[in-house]
Amino acid sequence: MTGWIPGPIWKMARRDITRNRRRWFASAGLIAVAVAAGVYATSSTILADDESAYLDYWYLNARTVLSVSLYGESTNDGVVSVDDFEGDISQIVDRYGVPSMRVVERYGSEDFVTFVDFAHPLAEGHSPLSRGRLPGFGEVMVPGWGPYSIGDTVDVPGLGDREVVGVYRDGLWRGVISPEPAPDLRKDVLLAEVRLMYARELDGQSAPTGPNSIPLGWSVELAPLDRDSPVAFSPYAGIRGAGVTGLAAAFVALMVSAVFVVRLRSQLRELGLMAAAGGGEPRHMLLLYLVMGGLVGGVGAVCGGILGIGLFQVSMGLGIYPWNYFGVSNPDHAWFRLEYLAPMLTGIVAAIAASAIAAWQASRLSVLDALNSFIPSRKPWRFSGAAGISFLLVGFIFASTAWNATGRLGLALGAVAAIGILLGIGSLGVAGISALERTIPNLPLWIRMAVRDANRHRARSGLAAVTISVVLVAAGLSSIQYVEWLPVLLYGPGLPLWLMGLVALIGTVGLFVYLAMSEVERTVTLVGAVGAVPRSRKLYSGATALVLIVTAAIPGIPAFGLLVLFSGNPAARSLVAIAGLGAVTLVVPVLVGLTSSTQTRRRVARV
Amino acid sequence: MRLQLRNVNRVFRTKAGSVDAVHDVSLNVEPGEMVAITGRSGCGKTTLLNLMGGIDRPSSGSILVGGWTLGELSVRDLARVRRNSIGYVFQDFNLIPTLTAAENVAMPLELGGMKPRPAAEQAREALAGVIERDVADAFPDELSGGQQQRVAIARALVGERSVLLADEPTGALDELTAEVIMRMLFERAQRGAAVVVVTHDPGQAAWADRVVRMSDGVIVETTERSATPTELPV
Repeated sequence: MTGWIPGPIWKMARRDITRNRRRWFASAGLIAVAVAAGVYATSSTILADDESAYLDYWYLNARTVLSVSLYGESTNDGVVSVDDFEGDISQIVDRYGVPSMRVVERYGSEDFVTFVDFAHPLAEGHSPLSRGRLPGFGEVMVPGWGPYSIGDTVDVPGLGDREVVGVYRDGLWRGVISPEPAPDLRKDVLLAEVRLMYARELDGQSAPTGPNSIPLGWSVELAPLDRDSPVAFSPYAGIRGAGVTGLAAAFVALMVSAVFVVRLRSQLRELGLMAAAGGGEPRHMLLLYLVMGGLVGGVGAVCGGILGIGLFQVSMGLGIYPWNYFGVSNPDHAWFRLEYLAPMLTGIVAAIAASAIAAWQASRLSVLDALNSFIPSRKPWRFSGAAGISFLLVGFIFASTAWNATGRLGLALGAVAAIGILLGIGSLGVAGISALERTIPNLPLWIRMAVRDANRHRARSGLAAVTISVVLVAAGLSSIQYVEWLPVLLYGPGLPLWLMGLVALIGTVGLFVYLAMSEVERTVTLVGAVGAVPRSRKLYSGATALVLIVTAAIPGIPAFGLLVLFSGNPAARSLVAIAGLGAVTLVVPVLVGLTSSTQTRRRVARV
Repeated sequence: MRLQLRNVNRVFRTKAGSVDAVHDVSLNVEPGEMVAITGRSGCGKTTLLNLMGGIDRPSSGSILVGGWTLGELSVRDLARVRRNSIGYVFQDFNLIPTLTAAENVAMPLELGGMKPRPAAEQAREALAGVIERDVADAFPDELSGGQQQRVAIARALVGERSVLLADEPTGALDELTAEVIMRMLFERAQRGAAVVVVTHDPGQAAWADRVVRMSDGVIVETTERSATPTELPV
C-alpha cells in the first residue's frame, strides 16, 4: 500500500486521527450508526411479509410439504375460515408420527374487503373472481382496511362512500414437515380425513348463498421435496437494506464532510509545509484526505457492523424480530452474512465521499495561501438566489411527477427531483448568507462578526444548510401516507420518521454548532483577550451559532413546508411539526452557544 | 546549482489597487555562495524568497533554478523541482506535527518515491549532521525551538538539494542558538549549495557573502562581505 500511497501520507492521516480523537471518533461514530442501521435492516433475510423469501426458506429446507387450500367467496359472515382447520390438521398430522411441522403460510384474514361497484372503471377486470364468471361484477380490494361486514359503508379513496357487498376470504394453510421425509403420510388418507373435517366444520352453518356467491372449495396437496440449495437472500431485505443504508450513509456523509472541511481549514499550514518544504504535489494533498476518509470509514464500518449484528442478536434474544410485522418467528438467523459487507462497504465509501470536498479543496490550494493559513474568500455568484429558487421549483415539479410514477421512471424522476432540491437548497443557503451580510452594517459588533464568519466559511455553512434541510425534509416525509415507493409504502406509516428526523436534527445542529465554535474559538479567545466582558463573548458565541442555524433553516423550513403540503396531511399536524422543529432550531444553538461560551471563558482566563 | 532571477516582478491586485511587491529584481546566486536579503517589514523580502522557491509565481520576468524556468512549469513539475532541488526553512512552525523528526526529514524523499527504509537512513544521516542529540523519533512538540529549526535544516538539506532558502530562520530563537543555525547555513554554502537567507538582523546577515538590501520591492543596495569566516561571531 505504501507503494501507492507514500509513507508520510499514511502516517499523517493515521496520526491525525489518533491526535484529534474527539473529532474523528465522532465522525467514525456517525458512520458506524449508518452502517449499523444498514446491517440491522439487512439482517432479517426471512421476512414475515416477504412471502416468497419466507416460503423459499422452508421449501428449500423441507423434505415434505403438506398444503391445504380453501378458496371461495361468501356473501355472509358464516364462512368457514382456514383458521378453523389449523388445530384439526395438526392433530391429523400428529397421528402419522411426523417429527416436526410448522405453519408457513396462512391466508384467510378479514383484512381483505371487496367493494363491488358495477359502474366504476376501476372495478373492471380487477378481480380474478369476476373474470368470466360473473359478468359485470367488479371489485376494488383494499388490504389492511378491515374488518368490515357486509352492509357497512366505507370511504374508498377515489371512489367515495361505497357499500360493502362482499367479503373476500381466501384461505390457504400450508404446513411443512421438515427436514425428514414422511413416507407414512399418505395423500389419499389425508384427503379423506380433511374432507371429513371440512364437512364437520360446515355442519350447522349456512352454506354461502346469494347472487354473487361462489361455493367454497378445498384441496389437499402432499408433495415430497428434495431441494437442498441454500437459503436465497430475500430481495425485500436487499431493498430495505439498500434503502436504509443509502439514506443513512448519504445523510452521515454530509455531516462528516463538514468535519473534513473544518479540519482542512485548521491544517492549511501543514499542507503548505508539505508542498513548500516537502515537495508535496496536489495528488498528495488529495490522497491525504481520501486516506483519512478511508480510515475513518473503515473504523466506522467495522464498529457499525459489530453494532448492527449485536443489535440484531440482542433483539432476537429479546424476541424482537426486525421488520417482522406479522409476529412470525424468524426461523433462522446467522451471526454473519456476506450481505452485511454491503452496508459496511457503503460506510467506507460514504466516508471517502465525505472527505472528497476537503480533498479537492486541498489539492487546489495555492502553496502560498496554505502557508499563510488562508483560503481566499470568493464572492458568491450574484444569481445564486434566483438559481436556488429555480432549482427548488424544478425539483418540486419533478417530485410531484415522481409521486405518481412507479418503478424505474419514478426512481429516475425522484433522483432528478432530489438533485434539484439539494442544489436549490445549497444555492439559496449561499444567497442567504450573502444577503445577511449586506443587511448588517448597523447591527451590533458581535452579530456582524458572526455573520461574516458564516459568510467566510461558506463550505461549512452551505453543508449545514443542506444537511439541516435534509433532516427537515426527512421529518416532513413522516406525514406521507401514500407513496408508491416500495420501502415507504411498506413501512412508511409504521416508521416514526418525524421522531427520527427530530433526533437527527438535534444531532446535526449540535455537530455544526460544535464545528462552528471550534473554528471561531480563536476569535472568541482574542475577543476576550482584548478586554471584552464575558457577556459580549457569550453574545458572540450565541450569535455565531444562531446565524449558522438561521442561514441553514432559510431554505430548509420552506422545503419542509412544501413537502408537508404535498403530502396532503392534516394542517394541524404540519403546523405542530413546523412549530416544534422551529423551536428546536432556535433553542438548541443558543444553548450550545452559551455552553461553549462558558468553556471559552476558562481559556480566556488562561490567556 | 545556480539560482538566477531576471527582471522579476510580482504585482498583487487588491480592492485598493495594484501593489508592486517585487519590482524588476535581477539577482544571481552561485553554487557555494550565501546571500542575505535584508530590509524593513513589507519591503518584499519574503515575497522574493517565495518566488525563488517556486511557492509563488512572478507576474513577469523569469526565475531559473538549474535548467528550470520556474514560472513555466506546471504545478506538478514545480512541486518536483521543489522536492529535488530546493530546500526551505521558515521562521517557525516548520515541522509537520504528526511526523517524527526523522519522518519530517525523510518526507521529501518518500514523496519522491524512495522506499521508507533508505529514506529513513538518509534522514538519520542528515539529522546527525545538524544535531548531536538523537531526536530522530521525537515529535515536533517534544523538541525545543532550536532543535526544530535544526531538523528543518536537515530536511532542507536531505537528498540532492543544492538550493537552500531560509526565511528568517533565527527569528524565533535566542542569540546563541541563532548563531549556531547561521553557521550551519554558512557551512552548507561552503560545501557548494546556493543559500539565500532573509533576515532583519545585521549580525546574522554578516555571515553572508553578499548582503542585498531591499526597499519597496526594489534592490537598493548590494554589499560584498568584507570579513573572513574566522572573524565572524561564534
